[in-house]
Amino acid sequence: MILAWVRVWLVILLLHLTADGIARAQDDECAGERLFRLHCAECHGLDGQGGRGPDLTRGVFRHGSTDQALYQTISQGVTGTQMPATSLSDRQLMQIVKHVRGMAGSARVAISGDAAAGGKLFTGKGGCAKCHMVRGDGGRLGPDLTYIGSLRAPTNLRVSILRPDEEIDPAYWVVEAVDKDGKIYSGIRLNEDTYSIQVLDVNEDLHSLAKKDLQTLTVDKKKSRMPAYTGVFTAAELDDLVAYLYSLQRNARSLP
Amino acid sequence: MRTICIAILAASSLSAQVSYQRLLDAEREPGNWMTYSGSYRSQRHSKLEQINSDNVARLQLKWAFQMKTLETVETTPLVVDGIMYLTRPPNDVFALDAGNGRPYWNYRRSLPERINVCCGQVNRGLAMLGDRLFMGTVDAHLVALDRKTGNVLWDVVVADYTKGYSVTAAPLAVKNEVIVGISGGEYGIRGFLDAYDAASGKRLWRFYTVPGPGEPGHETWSGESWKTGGAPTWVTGSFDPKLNLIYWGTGNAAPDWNGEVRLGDNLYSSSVIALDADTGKLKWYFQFSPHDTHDWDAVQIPVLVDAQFRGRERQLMYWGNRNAFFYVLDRETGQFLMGKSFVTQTWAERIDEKGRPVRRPNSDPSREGTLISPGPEGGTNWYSPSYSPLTRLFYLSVWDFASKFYSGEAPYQPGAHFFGSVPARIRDDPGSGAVKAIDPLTGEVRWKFPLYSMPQAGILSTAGNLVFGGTDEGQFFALDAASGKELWLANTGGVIAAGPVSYLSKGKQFLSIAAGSAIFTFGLE
Repeated sequence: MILAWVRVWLVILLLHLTADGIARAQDDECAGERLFRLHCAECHGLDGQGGRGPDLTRGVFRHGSTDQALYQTISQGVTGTQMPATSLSDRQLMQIVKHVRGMAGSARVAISGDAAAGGKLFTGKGGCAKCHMVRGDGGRLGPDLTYIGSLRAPTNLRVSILRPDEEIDPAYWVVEAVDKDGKIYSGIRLNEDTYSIQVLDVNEDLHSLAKKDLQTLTVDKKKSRMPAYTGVFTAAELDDLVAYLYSLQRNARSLP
Repeated sequence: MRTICIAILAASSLSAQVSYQRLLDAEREPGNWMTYSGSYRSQRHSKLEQINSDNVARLQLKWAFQMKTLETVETTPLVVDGIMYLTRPPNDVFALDAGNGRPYWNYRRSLPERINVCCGQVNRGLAMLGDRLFMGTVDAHLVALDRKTGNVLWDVVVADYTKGYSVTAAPLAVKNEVIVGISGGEYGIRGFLDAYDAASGKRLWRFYTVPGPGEPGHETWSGESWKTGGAPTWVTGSFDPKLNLIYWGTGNAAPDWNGEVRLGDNLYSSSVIALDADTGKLKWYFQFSPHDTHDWDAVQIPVLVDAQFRGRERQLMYWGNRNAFFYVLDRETGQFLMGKSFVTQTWAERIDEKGRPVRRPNSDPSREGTLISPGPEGGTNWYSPSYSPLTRLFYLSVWDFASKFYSGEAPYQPGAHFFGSVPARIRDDPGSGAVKAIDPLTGEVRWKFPLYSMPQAGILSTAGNLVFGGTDEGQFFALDAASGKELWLANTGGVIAAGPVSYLSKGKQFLSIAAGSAIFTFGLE
């Protein structure tokens, strides 16, 4: 095992220290993307956002987030899942590791904006905390944003604020159900199958509804519960808010 | 002591060997389930009727057997003379008392560290002949076990697993042969179907589903593409003893989504092949999806039925294909008789009079993505259908959805994925599933039982006017075979990706289904 890791590090060193290191780094990036598309995208999606396999863009990996751990996972597969072992070379494996790192947005970018001011907008003018939780404070009808800065790039955060309908996580599809007594259940769809649907309603109460007991059931996959914030904030305020969200980082030492 | 010994002898003598004659007459022994699909005709229909549409509401759990596995359980158990034989993925085998689920013995197989399988280290079951059980393994071996102890009688290499070959299908025992299909289409293997001598494990014949130089059909592969052409045989086929023909479905050509590197029809991919059971020589073939570029394997179960078709008594084959069409073929000649879609499809204008699809323009994968129904997993997939000779309906788990198909480069590397890009599902339009009852003489859908998500469960029909199926969320249900009305439901709590079976234990009818990582068995109180 130790020998294998030494070998991995030798490969990493080789990739970085050779005379034509920079050109090779670029080649590796392209190769990593190509290899990812060939070997990984069928399950993880072309952009790594998941499918049959988990989302890889969140920067946190269940089976270890270090380069060695990723190398190991890609090379050996994951027992008990559909993730197979591969017969790729060490160099190719490291190219994929590098590409996966890039997708996870682990490279930090510098942004303007005052995170502290943005925090005030989040709980104040924006009313964001009504639906979003940060470190245990806030609502439940939108995604928990405690670590959103580790998961999303600033441009992506900006788009989500201005045009939330562009990308709606299926865990937040909007549901409205009316039972036989005419009682209305509005909220987000937590889960669904042929026979029942599980809902978190606007009062943040959990309901499990049998479909046979419903008069009507609509699930809106195109329209987010979140309003578009176009025109609500000044350009400077928007920068502050993005800076605040981007500052919500997962502490590397607290990684599982 | 002596009396006890006599009692034990008497009890064990109740269980006889599974002779070839018993396999031929399997439908006359509805109390047993002796082959993957229930009989050589593969109708997955049980003639048992103790459990029927009048009393099925009283069906309850009799026993469960926890498998302790993290892999998907796709196995169809065999049940012979009160003993259930089943595989636990990847390649362990158990013999259980079919009445209470208590094990007699188990066989545990050690596997190499790196196994190349596209979709989990799965296994779909066993074949049985005489006192022997046969299992194909994910490291591409064929193993013969003694049915009373699980001892290994022989263990032979089918192919080189490091090159992406594996065996996941249940073998089929015919005469003195064990017929074995190969998996690995996603790794650029060259597909084949093998027959092994049940006594010795010696290979008797091999039929390559991708013809080599000089063989007919070789010209349907451009350049060297035949060497990595795929066309695996990863689901169990059927057998017609009168015609002495083995029918087996073949998988898609490789690489899946890039057809430019393998121009031509790519015979015998996405086809049914009819082979002489003694020699493995090709009698006829029918290619459902020539030059497939959508991953539409034709590994579905060949369902054999004798019936009047358009005024003439014929030996027919029914086939619910992944490409979204239901086919009727003459199984003596391979002649195409009918093809009709059973879910939304946007790739073919029609099927012509010879059975060849007339493709719509621009239905191939492209760099920018081509939206096509059905998606790559198909209108149905490998899950067993069922045919009831009583209702004369063909029952099938189906998927109704679309995907965007992309094409891309496909460099071949032994043992590595060989796809040529990857399709993408439509995130806010995931599609839906159903169980459908198709009138095989017209192709019309007689009824539909809608499901929220797309099922991977096989179907069993019974003489009790019942159809059993399941969902990805673990619901196992019974429908009225004539109307599709739901009559009974149990929640097993784990994905159902296997086919149900029915059998007798001590004279009582049971139903078994693999769900999650367990086998659940139901009976009347």
